[in-house]
Amino acid sequence: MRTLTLLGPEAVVVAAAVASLLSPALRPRQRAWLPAAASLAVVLALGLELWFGAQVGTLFQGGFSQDRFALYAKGALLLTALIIVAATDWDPFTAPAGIGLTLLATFGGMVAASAGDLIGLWAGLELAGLSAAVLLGRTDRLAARQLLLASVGLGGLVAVGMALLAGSGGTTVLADLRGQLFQHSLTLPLALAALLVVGALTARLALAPWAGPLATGTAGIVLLKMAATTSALSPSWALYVPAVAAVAMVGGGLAALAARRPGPSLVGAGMVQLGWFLASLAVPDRFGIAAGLFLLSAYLLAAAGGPIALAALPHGLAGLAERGVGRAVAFTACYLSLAGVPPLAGFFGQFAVAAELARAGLFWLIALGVFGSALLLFAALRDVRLAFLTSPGEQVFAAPRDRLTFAGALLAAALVSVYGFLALPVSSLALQGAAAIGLR
Amino acid sequence: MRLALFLVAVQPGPTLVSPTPSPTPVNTFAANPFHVSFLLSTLIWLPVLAALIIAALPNPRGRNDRTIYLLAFWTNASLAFLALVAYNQAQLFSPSFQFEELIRWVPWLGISYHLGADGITIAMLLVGSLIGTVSVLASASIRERVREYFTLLLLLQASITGALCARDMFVFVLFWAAGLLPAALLLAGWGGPRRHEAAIRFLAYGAVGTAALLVALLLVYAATGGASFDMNVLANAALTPRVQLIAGLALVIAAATRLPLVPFQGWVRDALSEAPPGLAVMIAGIGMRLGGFMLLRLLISGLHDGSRLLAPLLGALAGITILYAALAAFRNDDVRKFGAYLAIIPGGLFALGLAGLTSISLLGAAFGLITGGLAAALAVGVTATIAERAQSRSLSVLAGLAPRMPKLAWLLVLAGLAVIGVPGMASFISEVFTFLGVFYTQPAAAFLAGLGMAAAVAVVAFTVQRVLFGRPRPDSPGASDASLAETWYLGLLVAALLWFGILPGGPKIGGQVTLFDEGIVNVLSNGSTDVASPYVPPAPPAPPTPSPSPSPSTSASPSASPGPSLSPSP
Repeated sequence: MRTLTLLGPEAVVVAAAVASLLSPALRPRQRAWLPAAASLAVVLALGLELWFGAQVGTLFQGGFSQDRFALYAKGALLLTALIIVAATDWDPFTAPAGIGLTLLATFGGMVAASAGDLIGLWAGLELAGLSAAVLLGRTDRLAARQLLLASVGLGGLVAVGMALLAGSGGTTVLADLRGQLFQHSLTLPLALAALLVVGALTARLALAPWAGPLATGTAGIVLLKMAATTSALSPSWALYVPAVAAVAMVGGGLAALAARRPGPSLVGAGMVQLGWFLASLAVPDRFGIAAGLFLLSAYLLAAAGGPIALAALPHGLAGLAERGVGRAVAFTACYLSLAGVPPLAGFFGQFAVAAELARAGLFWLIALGVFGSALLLFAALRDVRLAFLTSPGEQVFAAPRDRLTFAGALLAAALVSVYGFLALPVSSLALQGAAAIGLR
Repeated sequence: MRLALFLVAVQPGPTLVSPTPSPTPVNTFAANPFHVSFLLSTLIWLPVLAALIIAALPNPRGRNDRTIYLLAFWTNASLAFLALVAYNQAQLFSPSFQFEELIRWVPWLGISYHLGADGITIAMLLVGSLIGTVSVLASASIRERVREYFTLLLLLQASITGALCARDMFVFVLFWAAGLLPAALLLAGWGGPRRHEAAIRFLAYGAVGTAALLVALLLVYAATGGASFDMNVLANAALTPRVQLIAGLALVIAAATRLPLVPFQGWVRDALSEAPPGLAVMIAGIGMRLGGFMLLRLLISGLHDGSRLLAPLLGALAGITILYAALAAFRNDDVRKFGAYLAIIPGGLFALGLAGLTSISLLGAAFGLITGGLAAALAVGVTATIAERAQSRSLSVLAGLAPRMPKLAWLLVLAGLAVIGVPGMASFISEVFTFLGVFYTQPAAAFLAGLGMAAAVAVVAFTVQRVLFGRPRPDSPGASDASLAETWYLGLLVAALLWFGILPGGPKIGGQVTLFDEGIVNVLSNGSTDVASPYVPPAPPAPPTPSPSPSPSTSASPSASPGPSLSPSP
């Protein structure tokens, strides 16, 4: 019974998701309370996770394992979900599906974070990916179809790679597989299998602008777990990962700089930070993975808050501070965090990765990362100046202020602002998380 | 009389090697009346708190502009008071850092929230808080988006203070980089007609500097085994000369973007001439000095072989910078750009002092951080005010202003004198120390810098004569003298320059009991002696003396290096 409490957060999230998906049966006035109720459910799940998550245990013959990695990753996912649910300006008619799918994607991420074997890992990844594709379908059917196709294709590649690895190792349990792979010499089939998994997961990160932070975060979590599991095969992706990271860091910076609108600029900033995250895999030891995990959570918070603050802005960024100060503050904090500007969350995460890269002697990757982040500074100057230092014009009315939306936006801003000040417990937990997935 | 004492003090003599100058403390009247824990954190985070309060303050139609201004002013006045407390309580004879705070932050990366202050830092904090107050006074004319302006100004100030107090490299980089965006936004939001170009350029050079600093930091970190970012650990690590040279070069580039030094001076002219007066004063007074402070703290204190290898380069850059600034000031036709070019000169002099690598030149450089900041702030402040009051920036239009703006005329003269370093001004002492120390080790650079200073004297004399006493043009716009706030902020800078110039050893009752000021030179030498000690050549073996008991005074100062004593005396 005591170990079943470990499933408490998942149960709350699933229950809230199901209730939300069934809520169109409610009257419109009752549906107006849905975002607040869903936010409360996420807060409850987060509380349960922090309360019970400190226990270490396994369920379903090792298929579900609650450890420090799971605690960290699920905590980050739940906070991300909280920001999305609370800060989004939901339309009462589409809110039930939107909130339900968001919570389902969160559940997928939680499954992947706690997965003790390859099956759970894959299932969580696909659940989050599919939820994200359906969520996108509410607003952009064509993009959703393309995302679905890409997700399914990449999911298939991940499945094939995982199957090859399981066949070689003779087990699907991650801890056992890791041990088995250390006993094998690096052969071409094994190298290809590892490269297939890592490559497909990396490509899923590139879908971030459409898939959203929860599905991207799930892909990142799976990537970290697979990197730890296949660290014996790391020479097979030792060239690929830094190369992709470098392209993401520089390309993202250039894209943000070239963007004419704040949305694409934010996407570029996100790509730079995902590039930094990928760079952490170039050091597949405990400290490198811990730095990656530390950065991933920073990315999730900022990537959740930034686009929401920008949503439904018919007049662009100009004078955003005068029209909605909560949105302006959230956008600025999240954007600057993605750009790695101190003292926000992204800076701490990126610095941790840079320090690990320096230990490994990968100075060329640091130089490219710093270059990409420096490019973002100019884009940030342009966009922050627009938001705070320009006039909105005469015909522009202030955005209506919903208390929950305002609180959600401020929560995003506050979390990326205080992240660095809480670096001692957060980074220590990330280090314990890296140790929990087998890295010593 | 005090000046004479100083000139005596800089005569070649035995150099102090020990970081502890003397066991005898100075008597201080009413010393140590306060004990403030977390003093440095208070200095850093108080402006941040004030900035948050100001940012959250409702300000419909600018109704609370005055309240915001007063809040910013009193925050800075409080900071100045706290800095004065730190200055007053500084232990002159303590070799270690004072007011230290150490909290573990990211243990597995070796990052800690480590703050501390030696004599140089304490003096910089005092001047920094003064510049902060002056900057708020200089911003009295800001009328648009007052809330945003003072929020950003206070954040900028906090970042500079944080970098000054940092004893952990991560903390240093964090604060160093954190100030870039607020400064760029201030420039882009409240600057002159070419503010956008100026902000972009400022940010570009800042980004290059930060990148170079990061590379240097991570290189040293990796070379020391990746154990810690603490400056004490990094400074005591045994690094190969190759690593020291590469890291040192990166540090020189980072500092050159801030000080600035040629060829990284491209942002200064536009930034200082387009920035609102408050920001210009802040950047010239303390923001640019941060580059020099970093060089002193990281290169000279930590990478001794690298410093020796890079000293000729640094000297050459310093000489070229001074000469360039003087010639560029002569060539231009904009009074604000004239001030901006003058503000470059103290940075060059500072780098020259570092290149000397002698006790006296390093003390001169440390003192130059203070005096150069004050002189540069005065130069850009007074030229900005003249441009505003005379309604023109063109030197060909501005002429014969002395009768129409007597206060500003005096202040311009004093600014010119402060930059070129005439006796009575604090900058005179730092320049004398610098040149005396540098001529021993870097004669070519000293000659080049001397040439530059001669050119600067000529330029200042020519421009001041032209602007103040030239024949007024009939078509020039009307001019008015400085307002009360402007007179106060410029007057405070002049007063500080004169105080440190006339009483560098602090006022004393009966020549014995120190009043509230123990003397800027004494406080500075507390830090610079530690910095200089690795560069003092080893003493030659003492000849055998027939006396059975050797004199304690000869054993206490064994150096044969030519150079004056650094003991806190006057």
